[in-house]
Amino acid sequence: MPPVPPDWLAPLDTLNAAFTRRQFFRRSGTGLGVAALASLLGERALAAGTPAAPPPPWSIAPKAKRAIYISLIGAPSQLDLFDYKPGLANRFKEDLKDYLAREGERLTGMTARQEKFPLAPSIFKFAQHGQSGAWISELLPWTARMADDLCIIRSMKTDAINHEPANQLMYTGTMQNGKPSLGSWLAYGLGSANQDLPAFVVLHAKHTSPFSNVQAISARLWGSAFLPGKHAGVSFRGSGDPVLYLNDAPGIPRELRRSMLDGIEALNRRSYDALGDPEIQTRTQQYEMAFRMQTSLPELADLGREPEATFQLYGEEARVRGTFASSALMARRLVERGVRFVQIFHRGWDQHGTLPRDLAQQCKDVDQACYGLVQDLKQRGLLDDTLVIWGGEFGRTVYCQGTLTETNYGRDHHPRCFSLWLAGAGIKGGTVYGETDDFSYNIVKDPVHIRDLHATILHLMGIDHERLSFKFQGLDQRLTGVLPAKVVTDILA
Amino acid sequence: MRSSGAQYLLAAAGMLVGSAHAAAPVPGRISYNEHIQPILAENCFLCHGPDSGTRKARLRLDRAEFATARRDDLPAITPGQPEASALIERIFSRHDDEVMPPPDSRKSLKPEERELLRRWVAEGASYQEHWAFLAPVRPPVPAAGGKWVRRPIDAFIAETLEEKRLPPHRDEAPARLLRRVTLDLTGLPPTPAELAAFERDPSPAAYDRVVDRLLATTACAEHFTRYWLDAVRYADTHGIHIDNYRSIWPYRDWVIGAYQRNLPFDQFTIEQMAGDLLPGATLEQKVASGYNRCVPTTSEGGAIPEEYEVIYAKDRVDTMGAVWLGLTTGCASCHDHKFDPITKRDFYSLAAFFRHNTMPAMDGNVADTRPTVFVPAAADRVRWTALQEEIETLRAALPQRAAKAEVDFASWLASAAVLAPLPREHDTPLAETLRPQDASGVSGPYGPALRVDGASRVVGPPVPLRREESDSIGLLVRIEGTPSGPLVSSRDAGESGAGWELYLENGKIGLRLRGGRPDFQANGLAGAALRPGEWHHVLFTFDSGAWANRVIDLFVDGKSVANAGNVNNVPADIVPTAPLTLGSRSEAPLTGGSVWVQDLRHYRRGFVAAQAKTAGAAVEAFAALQVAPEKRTPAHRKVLREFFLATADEPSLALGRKLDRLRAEEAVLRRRGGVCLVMEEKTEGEPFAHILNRGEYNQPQEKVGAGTPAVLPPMPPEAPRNRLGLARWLVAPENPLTARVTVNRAWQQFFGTGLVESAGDFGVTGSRPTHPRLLDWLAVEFRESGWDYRHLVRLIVTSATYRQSAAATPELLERDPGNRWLARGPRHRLDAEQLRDQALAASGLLVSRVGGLPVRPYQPEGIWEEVAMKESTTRFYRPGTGDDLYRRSLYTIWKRIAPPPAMDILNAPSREVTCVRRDRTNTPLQALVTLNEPLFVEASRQLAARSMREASRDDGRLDAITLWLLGRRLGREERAVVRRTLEAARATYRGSPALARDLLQVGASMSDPTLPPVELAAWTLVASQVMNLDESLTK
Repeated sequence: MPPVPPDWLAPLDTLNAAFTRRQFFRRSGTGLGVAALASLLGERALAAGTPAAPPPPWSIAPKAKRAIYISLIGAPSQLDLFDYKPGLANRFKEDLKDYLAREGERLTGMTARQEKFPLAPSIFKFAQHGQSGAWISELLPWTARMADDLCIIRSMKTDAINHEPANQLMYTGTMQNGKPSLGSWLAYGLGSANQDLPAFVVLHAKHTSPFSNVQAISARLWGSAFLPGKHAGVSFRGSGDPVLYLNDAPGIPRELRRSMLDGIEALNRRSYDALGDPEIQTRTQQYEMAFRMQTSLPELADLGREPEATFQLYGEEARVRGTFASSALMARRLVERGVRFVQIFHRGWDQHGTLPRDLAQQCKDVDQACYGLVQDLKQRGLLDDTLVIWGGEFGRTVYCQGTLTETNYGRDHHPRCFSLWLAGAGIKGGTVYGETDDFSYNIVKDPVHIRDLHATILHLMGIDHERLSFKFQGLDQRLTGVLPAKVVTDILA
Repeated sequence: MRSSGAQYLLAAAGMLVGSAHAAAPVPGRISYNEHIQPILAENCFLCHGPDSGTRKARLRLDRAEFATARRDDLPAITPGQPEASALIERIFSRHDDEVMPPPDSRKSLKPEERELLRRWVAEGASYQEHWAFLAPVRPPVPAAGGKWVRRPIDAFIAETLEEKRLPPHRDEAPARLLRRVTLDLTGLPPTPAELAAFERDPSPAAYDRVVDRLLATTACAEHFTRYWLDAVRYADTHGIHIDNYRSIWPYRDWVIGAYQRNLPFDQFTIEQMAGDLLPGATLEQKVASGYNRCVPTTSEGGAIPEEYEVIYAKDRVDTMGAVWLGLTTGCASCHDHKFDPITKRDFYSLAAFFRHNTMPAMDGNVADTRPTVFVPAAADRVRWTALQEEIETLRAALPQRAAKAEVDFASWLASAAVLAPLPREHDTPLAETLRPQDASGVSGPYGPALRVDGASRVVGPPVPLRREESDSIGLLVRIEGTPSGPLVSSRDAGESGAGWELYLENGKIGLRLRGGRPDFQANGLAGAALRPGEWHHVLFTFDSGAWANRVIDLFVDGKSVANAGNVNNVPADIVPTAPLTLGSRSEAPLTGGSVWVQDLRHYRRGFVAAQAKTAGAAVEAFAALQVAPEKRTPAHRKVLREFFLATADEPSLALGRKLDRLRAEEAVLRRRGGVCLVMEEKTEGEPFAHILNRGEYNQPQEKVGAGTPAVLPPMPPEAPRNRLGLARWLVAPENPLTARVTVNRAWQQFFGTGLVESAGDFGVTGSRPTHPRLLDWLAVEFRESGWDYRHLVRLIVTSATYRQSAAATPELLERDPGNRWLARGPRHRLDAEQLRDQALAASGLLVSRVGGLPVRPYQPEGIWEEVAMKESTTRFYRPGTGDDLYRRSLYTIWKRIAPPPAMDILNAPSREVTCVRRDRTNTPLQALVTLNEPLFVEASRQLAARSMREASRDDGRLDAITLWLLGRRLGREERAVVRRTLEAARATYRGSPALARDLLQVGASMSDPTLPPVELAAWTLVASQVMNLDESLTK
C-alpha cells in the first residue's frame, strides 16, 4: 500500500467528540441512534465498538475492494476501436438495405428514412498487440500497449437504441426512472472504507473537441433513488470547489471558523442536554467532518505535489483541472484513500457524422490517461484489488449515416453489439471475449448483456447480485432485476 | 370483519424494531391482517399470490376460496385442521424437496412464524380483506386522555399512550410552539413582533387565533404548494435528453391559488386531473389540468414515439397511484401485482385514461409543446379576451377590403414607377430607406439606392443580441463584381470584438458572431454568391422566441443560406458598444466590387423563412413592376397587387395601422402573462390501451378500455370513461383510499412520519397504521367536512398532541425512538426550502412577490453545463439579478437533470418521479451548504446589519438575531459562548480589516454603509453561527 496521509484515517479519538462512544450508545438508545451512528462512523468504527456484525446476506469473497468505471457517454464505435473486421475493406459502399430488412432491428428516427445504408469500413489501421494478440485500432496506441492487462469484451449487448434509456440501463440496470445507480448499489452493499470520504464519487471530465456531439447525462445516473440518500454519488468537481460549497466564504480564516464551530458544538450540546435528540449530536459530528474535509479535500484535489513521473505517465493534460487525464489521476487518489467506486463521465462519443475526425479527438482525450491509470495502479500494487471498466452505452452501425466518402463517414446507434474492456482485480488480462459477425452487427459467440456485466462487477466486488436487494414498494428490488443475469465466469482470473 | 385496535397495536409494536411482524409477541387471538398476511406476503405470494404470471402449482394463498379449494392431494388449507392442510405440512417439512418456501427462494420461515400459521389454520384460517381496501367508517372517539385532550385526535393518541403507559408531554413553551407552527404552516419563521404579541397574550384562544391567521396567509399557500409540487413532480424542464425549459409555471401558481382559497380537495383533484373536461371549462380549470403535463418528456433524435407514449402513461398511473390511492400500481405494468390485487388488466385500464389526449409523444424541445393555453396576468384577463375579438374582426376586414380594391389597384399600377416601402410596425424600431444625396446612381425598388463601398455610416444605436430576446436585421442589397468586406454590423473593433456582422466574401454573404464569452464564436457563409446586378433581400435573424425554433439564421430572398446554429449555443448575451453601422468597420474596408443598399430595418422579433420572404416582397414586386405591362403574367400581377395592398392602398393601410396597434398591445399583455402546458382530450374515439407483454411497447396483447381496478368500488355506470370520470371516482365517498392517503400525508407533513409510514404504499406490503382508528376518523372527518384541507390542518396543529414539548427523555427515546406513539412533540430538520426561506426572512432580504416565471438565484458555475447538451436552453445558468435572487425557494427554476444543488444536498427530490415522502439525512455536505452557500452568508450579513440597526449593545443585537432564528433570547451561559466567537471575530477583523471587507462582499445586496465594516463582519459571523445551530436548522 502506498503511504496514506494520516488525516484520512484519523482514528475516532481525534475527532472533536464531546462524548464517548459508550455514552452515545447509552443515551441514544436503540434504533435510530445506532443507525445514525453507523452512517456517521462507517463500518470500521462500528465494528470496533460493537460485537462484530454478521456480514450482510449478499456477501461473498471479494476480488476487488474498489472499482473505477470510465463511462464514455455517447457510445464509442466498436468498429473503429476494438472489433476488427478486415473483410469489410473491399465492400465499401455496399448497400445493406436488404440485409437490415432481414435482420429486423429497429432503426433510430435518425436513419430510419435513409434511402440507402452504405457499408462504411473503418478507415483506421488495426494491429495485434501483446501476448494475447488482441486487435486494437491505431486510435488507441496507449491502450494497445497494455493489451495484456485488458479483457476486451466484443460481445456486449443492450436493449436500448437511444442514449437516454441506454445510459439509464447501463448505469441503473433499467430503462425506467426512479431506480438506484450501480455506484449507489455498491455503496449500499459494501459501505464506506473511509469515514471522511463518500463511498461513491463521480468525476465529470471535459472533452476537448468543440465539434463532438455531446449527450446529456442526468443526476439519476449516480443517484440513489429509493436507497438511502447517503449512497448517492458525490460529484467532485473539475472547476471551482472540489465539492460544492467546500470553501469558506472569503474573509473567514481557519481559526475563526474553528472558534465558530466550537461555539456551535457547545450550544448544540446544551440543546442535546435539554432535548435528548440524538440527531443533534450527529449534526455536530457532521459539522466536524465538514471542517476536516475542508483541509483534506483540497489536499486530495491538489495534484501539484504529484511527482513529475505521474504526469509523464498520465500525460501533461493531467496538470489541468477537469481534463480526463486529471480525472483519471484523481480517480487513483480517491481509490487509494478508500473510495469504493469512482465513476468518470466523459462525454462527446456520439459520432453520427465526421466520425474519423471526432472519434480521433475523443480517443486522444482518454487514451494515454487510461494507460497511465492502469499502470499507476499496478505500480502501487492496487490493480490486484481494483477493478477498472471502460465503455459506452451501446455500439454503432456498420452502415454509414449521412454521406459516405473514402475518408469520411458517420455511424448511427447500434444496440446489438458493442465493445468494452475490464482490467484489474479478478479479471483475466490478455483476454478477448466474444465474437460478432462479419458486419459487427450480431453477436455470434458469448453474448454479455448489461445485466451480466452488472452481475460480474458485483461478483468481483464481493456481492451476490441475486441477494443484494432493498425492500421498496413491497418488492426485493435488485440492480439486476428479475430477468436472468449471469456472472461471466470465463473472464475471471 | 375489522380487527380491533388492540390487534393493530400489537402488530405495530413489532414495527418499532423491524418489520411489521418480526418481534410481535404471540397474540391472544390471531388476526389475518395483522399476523398472517405479512408472513404470507413476505414468503409465499411471489409464487402463490395475485400474479398469475409467476404463480406455481396453480396455487393461490391470498384468498380463502383459492387456498381452501380441493386439489389432487390435500387442500392447501383445511380450516380447523392443520394436519389436513398441505400448507402446514410443507412449511414444517424437513426435506429440501418438499419444504416451503423452497431453499432456492432464499426465503425461510422462523419457528414462531410456522407456529403462528399452524395456530391460525387450527383456529379456522379466517381471511380478511386488506384493511386499506375497506371503506373507512368513523369510529367513536375514545374516552381517554382526560383533560389533556383538546381535539378528538388527542383522545385516540391518549388511548394508545395509556396502553403503553406513556404519559403525554407538557405543552411546548409558547415561543417554541409559535416557531414550530409558523414554520409548519408558512415555511417561514415568526417575526419578533409576532413572538412578542403571542407571549403577551395568555388567553387560551390566542393560539387558535394564530393558527387561523397563519392559515389565511399567502405564505401558507406557497408552503403547502411546495409539498404538492414534490408529489406531482413539478419542474421547469422537460426532463429527458435535451431537457429544455418548459413553460408550466402558471400551473404552479394555480396550485398556490387553490390553497389560498382553500379549494375543497375533491375539486382540487377533479380540476387537476380533468379540468379541461369540465363542461364550460374556465381558463383556470384548463391551467389546473397542467397537472397531467408535469410528466417528464423527451424529444431525443432517435426516440420511438410509441415507446414513450407507454412510458408517459405508466408515469401518470404511478403518480396517481402514489398520490391519491397509495398504491404501487406501476408494479402491475409488467405482470399482475405480486402482493396487491391489482392485475395487469387493471394497470392498462388505468393507463388508458391517460392515453387519449392530443399531447405529442415528442415534446419538440420547445417550451410550449401543445396543447397549451396562454394565461394573461389576472388584471389583463378581460382586456385579453376583448383584444382577441378585435384582432379577429380586423383580420377578417382586410380580405374584404382587398376584394373591393380592384379599381384602385388598376389606377395605381397605371402610374407606379417605384414602390413605397412596407409600413413600419410596432416591432420595427428602425426603418431607414437610405436615400443617396445624389440621385444619379443605381435605382432600387424605392428609387435611387445608396452605394456603401469604402465608407461607413452609422444608422442606429448598437443592436445587442440577448439570449432571451429576438432581433433581426433586413435590407435590400445589390452587388457588382465580387465584393468582400463588412456590410452591416454592430460589432466592436478588432478580431475578437463583441457583436455581430453581416459581411461579403467574394460576392457571398456571411454572418459572424463574437463575444459574450471569450471562447465563443459562430460563423455562417452562404454557399452561393449573390447574383450581381439583381436586387436581393437579405435578412439576419437571432430568434429566441419560444414560438419558433431558437435559430440564428441568414435568409436571402426568404431562403436560409447560412444557418449559424442555435441561440442556445450562445453562452451569454452579446452586447456590443459599437453602433449599427452600414459599410466598413474601422479597419476593414470593402474591396473587390460595388454594393448598393436600400431599406435597412431592425426588427424586435424573429423570422422563419416564410416571414422572411414576405419581408422581402419588394424584390419580386420590383422585378414584376419592371416587366412591360402587356408581358406581365398573372403571377406578376398577384405580387404587385399584394404589394399595392400592403403599401399604397389607404383603406388597407388604415386597417393595418389599427391591427398593428392592437398587436402592440397584445405583445405587452403577452409579456405580462405566460403560456401553460395543459391537457386536452382527443375528440374522437374512446380511451383504450393494449395490455403489453412485460410492459414492452412493441409487444401488445389484448386491447382494454379505460376502467378502474376491480378490487376497488366501481365507477358508476353513467360516469364518463375518461379522466373526468376517473377524477370523480378518486374522490367518491366509496373510495376507501383517497381520503386516508391524503390525511396521512398531512399528518406526515407535521409529525415527520405518517400514521402509515409508507405514505405512498397502503398495499399489502406497505406499513400498517400505528393508529388505524385515528386514521379512519380523520379520513371520514376530512371527507365529511367537504374535503376541507384547512379544517384538517387546523385539527392537527391545534391538537394537544401537536402542541407537546419535543424534549425526550432517555427512557422515552429507548421506548419510542421514532416518536410513533407521540408522547412528545414533533422535531426534525427543516426542509431545504424552509432553511433558505428562513434565512431570507430573518435577514429581511425576502421578496415576497407571489408567482410568475421561475427565478435563478445563486448557483455555482458549471452545474448545468457539465451535464447538459450543447443545444439545451438550460445549458448555461445565468443567475438573476435584484429581486430574483431573493424570492421564496419554490420559485427557483427546477432543471430535472440537474436540480438546484443546495436543495439537492438537503434531500429535495429530483422531481423526475413522484415523491410523497422526502428522505431526511444528516451529512457534512449539508453543513457546508448552510455555512458557505453565498445566500446563507449574505443573509447572515444582512441579519447582522439588521441587528446592529435595531440595537446598540451586544446583548440587544444578539437578541435580534436569535429571536429571528430561534424564536427566543439566549440564556446567560449561551451568551457567553457566542460572545467568545464575537470577540474572536472582532479581534480578527480589527487586525485585518481587509478580511472584513472580503466577507462583506459576499452576495449581491449592498452592505449598509453606515455600519462599521469590522463590527458588521464580526456580527455576520455570529449570525452565521446562530443560523447553523441545530436549533435553527430544526423545527
